[in-house]
Amino acid sequence: MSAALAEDVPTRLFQRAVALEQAGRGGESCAILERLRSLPAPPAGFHALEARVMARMGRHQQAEEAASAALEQGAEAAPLLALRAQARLAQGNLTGGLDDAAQLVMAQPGDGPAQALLGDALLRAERFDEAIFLHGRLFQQAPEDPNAILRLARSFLRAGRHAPAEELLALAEQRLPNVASVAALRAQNQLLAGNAARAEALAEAALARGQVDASVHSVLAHALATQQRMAEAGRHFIAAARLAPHDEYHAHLAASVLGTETSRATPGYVASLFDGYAANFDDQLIGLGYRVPGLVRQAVEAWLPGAPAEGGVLDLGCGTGLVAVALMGLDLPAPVGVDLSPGMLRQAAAKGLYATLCQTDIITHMQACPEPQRLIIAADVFCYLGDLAPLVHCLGMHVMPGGALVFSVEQGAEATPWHLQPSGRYCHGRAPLQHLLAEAGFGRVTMQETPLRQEAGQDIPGLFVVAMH
Amino acid sequence: MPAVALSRGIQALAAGRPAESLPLLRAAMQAPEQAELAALNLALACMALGEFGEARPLLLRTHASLPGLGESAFRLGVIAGQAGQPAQAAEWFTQALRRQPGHALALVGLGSLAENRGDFAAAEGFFARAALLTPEEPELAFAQARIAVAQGQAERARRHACSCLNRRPMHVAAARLLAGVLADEAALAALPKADADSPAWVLVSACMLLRAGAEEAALAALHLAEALGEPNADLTREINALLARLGRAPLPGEAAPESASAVLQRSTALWQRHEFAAMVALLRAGLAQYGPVPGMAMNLALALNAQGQHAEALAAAETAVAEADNKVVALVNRLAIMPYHPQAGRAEALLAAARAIDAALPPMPAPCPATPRRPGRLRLGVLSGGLGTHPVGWLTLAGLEHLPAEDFALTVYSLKPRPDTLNSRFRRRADAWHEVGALDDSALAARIAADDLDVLLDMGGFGEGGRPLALRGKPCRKLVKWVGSQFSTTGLAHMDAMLTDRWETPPGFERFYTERLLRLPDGYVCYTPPPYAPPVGLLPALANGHVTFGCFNNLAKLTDAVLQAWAMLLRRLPQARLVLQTHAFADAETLALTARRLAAQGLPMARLTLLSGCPHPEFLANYARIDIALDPFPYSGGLTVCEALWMGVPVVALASDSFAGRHALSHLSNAGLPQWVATDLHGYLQRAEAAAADLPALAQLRAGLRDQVRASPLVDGPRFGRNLATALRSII
Repeated sequence: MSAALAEDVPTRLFQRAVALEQAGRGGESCAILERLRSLPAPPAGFHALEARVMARMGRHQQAEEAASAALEQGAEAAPLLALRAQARLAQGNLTGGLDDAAQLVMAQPGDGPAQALLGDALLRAERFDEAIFLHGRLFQQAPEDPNAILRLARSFLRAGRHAPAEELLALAEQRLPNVASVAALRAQNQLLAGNAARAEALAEAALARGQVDASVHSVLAHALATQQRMAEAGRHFIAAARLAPHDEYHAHLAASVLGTETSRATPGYVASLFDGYAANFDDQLIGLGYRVPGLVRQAVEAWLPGAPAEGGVLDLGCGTGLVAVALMGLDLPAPVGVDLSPGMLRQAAAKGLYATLCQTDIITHMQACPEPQRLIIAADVFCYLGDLAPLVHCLGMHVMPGGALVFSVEQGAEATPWHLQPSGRYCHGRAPLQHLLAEAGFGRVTMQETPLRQEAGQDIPGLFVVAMH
Repeated sequence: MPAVALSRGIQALAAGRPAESLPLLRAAMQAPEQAELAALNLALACMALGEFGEARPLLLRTHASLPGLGESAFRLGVIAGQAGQPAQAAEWFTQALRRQPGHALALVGLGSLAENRGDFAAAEGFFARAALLTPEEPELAFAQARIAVAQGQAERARRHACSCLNRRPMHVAAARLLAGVLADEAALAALPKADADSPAWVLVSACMLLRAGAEEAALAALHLAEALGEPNADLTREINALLARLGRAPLPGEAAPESASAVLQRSTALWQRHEFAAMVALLRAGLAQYGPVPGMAMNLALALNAQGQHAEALAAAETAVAEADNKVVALVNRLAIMPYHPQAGRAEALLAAARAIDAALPPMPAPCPATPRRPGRLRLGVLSGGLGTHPVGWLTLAGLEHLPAEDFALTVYSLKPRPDTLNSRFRRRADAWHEVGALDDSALAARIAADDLDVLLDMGGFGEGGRPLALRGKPCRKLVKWVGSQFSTTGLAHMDAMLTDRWETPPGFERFYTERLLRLPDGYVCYTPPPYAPPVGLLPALANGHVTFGCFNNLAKLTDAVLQAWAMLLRRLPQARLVLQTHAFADAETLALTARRLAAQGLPMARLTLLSGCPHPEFLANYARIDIALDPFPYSGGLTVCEALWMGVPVVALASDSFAGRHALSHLSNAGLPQWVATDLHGYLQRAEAAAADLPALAQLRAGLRDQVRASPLVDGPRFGRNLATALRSII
């Protein structure tokens, strides 16, 4: 921005932006703020103003940067720390958000909102006991405050302590009888506690009260699905998708119920699905007889003697890192893990077995990946992709001669390339898959029919594939 | 001293402070030797403040008293142009040139008038002559840009628009024009600019964002432009117009002088906030200033009607019809007023008025023959802006929800987003949902046509936001009118049928309708009671010792004849009370006006309670104060009747012959209470008195009325869904 602006113009711009914020219309000042930001010396108070406006607009990164700039300039710390904490948490920067929230509480020890913010940050960081302690204290101070009730309830819920969560959520529902999300949360708590029938009843009651909302239909759908009442569940997935048309998670499940052909599960669906599972994933899969990591180890042990001496290992859809655990002790470099779910990646990082972890879609990663790999593993990932052709061809170009692609798919009809099942996962036919791998340059392919895991007491049939270049 | 006052007044005016100049120039007019010059400058100051009504007599005076000057004539031409009187404007501009052949702006004015007529050759001629006199005049560059656009010469338009903006950075219209001939922001960046930091380019960028539908970003850019530049009334109006469109109040500050279109925009904003008295005052002032501008007359008709001033409302609507170039819009406005009018609200008059709309429509090619319908589910569409907690929503949701999904694929074309619980239920049922309010008529028709519908239900009619005229090209196989300003026939040749029932349109009533009448076996609507409706309480008369009548209808429905009837009733029942509740009473002036009307019609004000609108649960809870509801006429209550019945309050009604006049008859009959509907005023009063005289019967009725309604077809969704399905299948 040149210095051609008349001297009083920056002041006028700032005053206009302040007036808009005071009128509750800070969003209308975006263009003014952008112009002021470009000045070599914006007016005093600009950064704090920008932080507030950006926070209200949900532009978290800009809010964080502006808050940091304002703090550096010595602006009043408390509101900016609160704002920056929220912005950092919203961007998934749990450490930074916690730091700010903790500083805020130290600066204002008796301040309820500051303590609530710290409690929320602790909850996001899965430090449940501390979150429960803080939110519990706030609840004791204001037992009638619905927000305090809900915060404590959520803390118990996330900690897996469903009985106290239920008591609090029942209380919250009394205080807020017309808020659909409260009803949905209460039903979800029951579902997580293993009481699908109770969750169903709570959700149905909410709908009968006129709380027609995507969240209520969603939890009802999951409760019905848990009870293997798939047709009924499908109707509610469809309702949820119609009520929240931009929600990829429900859109995918609705499509799977309707039999609508989609070529892949969207990244949004996969991330939502696995973020919800992350904390208990390993235990649940082990409980369900998950065999794929063991099969991967067996296959890699057989392949290793003839494998190339150089090259990396790529674990696509690494999840919580079960494959890396399975490969421990083998003569291979630490793998690079790729997954969409931040929750899953935190679990994987905790295992300390990966060289790098990338939160991205596997197709995006492969398109950007320059180097051929010695070994690429995709365990239980292709069930979220229908049309495998683009990815398999890409993988074919990224496995070095003598290298291997090891993956599993759920097995579909022999001649059908792919099919979206009511479960929301895709299955693939053996013959088209064999043909595709050959086209992609994989000369030696072995396919083993094997159950991948159990679901509702039934084996999920699958193909375990080792394809070598 | 007058001489000093004149000098200072002219200085203030030249410096852009017209308000400051007014007292100075008025003082200067006291001195005879400079009175005329002061008068002329005072006129210019008044015009700068938008006070054309004050300016005009001054200009007429100075036109006579200053024969050597053409300025007065030029300004009178501007006023005439603003008032939509092009012939008069041309005459004044010509007179200005006779006196001052070098008056460049008069030439620009004549050029603009020629341009408006489409005579671009003549327009260019005038502009060329003006260019010889004042080649640097920004308005001239703007005019030349407009001509270039009309002639499809984008490059020339860009050049002239830039020239204008380089000299007059805050020229909103030039910025808008330039935005229309630039491909993208890169093209804007590439333009030659005298000052790259000028607010002009921010203004152009804002206009480009507006064209792209990015209203929030455009608003932010407009704020930036205004803050960067000099104070500018046009830009302030532009910002306030956009704020009004976004449903936000204008920023506090000095009111900017307004053009006729700005008055119209502000009146629309007042309508949306139910500030009818302010709306009436604004429009009356606007009409005094600018003359009989049709849009102002139409909006005035709506505001007066909302206040229950039916005669004045119809008169304003008729003025609009007489003055409007676009008769269709004015005729639609008149039809929307007529059902409320005690005389004009009869079926025959409404039919004639509706037919007049169809007759005024421009000719249209016949639609292409319909292709054979695809096998499978009946493809049903709904077009409405009321799919939420709105009368349309409450009366149609149950029917649409209970149309079997396996047989009916439902596509919704929503004209207005309504994020509420009822809207969620519509969305849940819809196989596809499209927000189409921003589409113009041809885009809307194309959008509908793309879905290959079997039947489209128009659930908006000629009401606010309704778009029945967009459907002229028959973008579907069958068009059916249902609910949503369904007060009469539409009169439209392209509307195939209307969903009705045997009470709304008994045999023989076909003569009042241009549509085929599809009579549903029960009522034509199915009511969805709100889940938050309070329980029915005891009859209040038992505790009060007197009967309380009530009417919770729209104030527009309370004609003088209704008020007289109620006055008669309260005279016959000296202990009875009357409670009126309506949202319009939140406007203090409307409340005061209504109180005066009530008193003038003989109502005993000491026995009346006037309640303003409140949140819906509370609104319903106020039925606990009412023993007997009184329905207005000729425009009957619709949703209001259903709500009264659900709250245990029977309704005394008087049926007339229009669709609007028979809503209560339909709902009461459907709920098993046909005996509460009279056919004349005597019967109406007698029914009310008889009910008030038998409190035990009234109490018993009240105690069981919700259950009675619950068991009736009025709220039987599955039954209505089956009937609706049968009716829809019958027309394809």
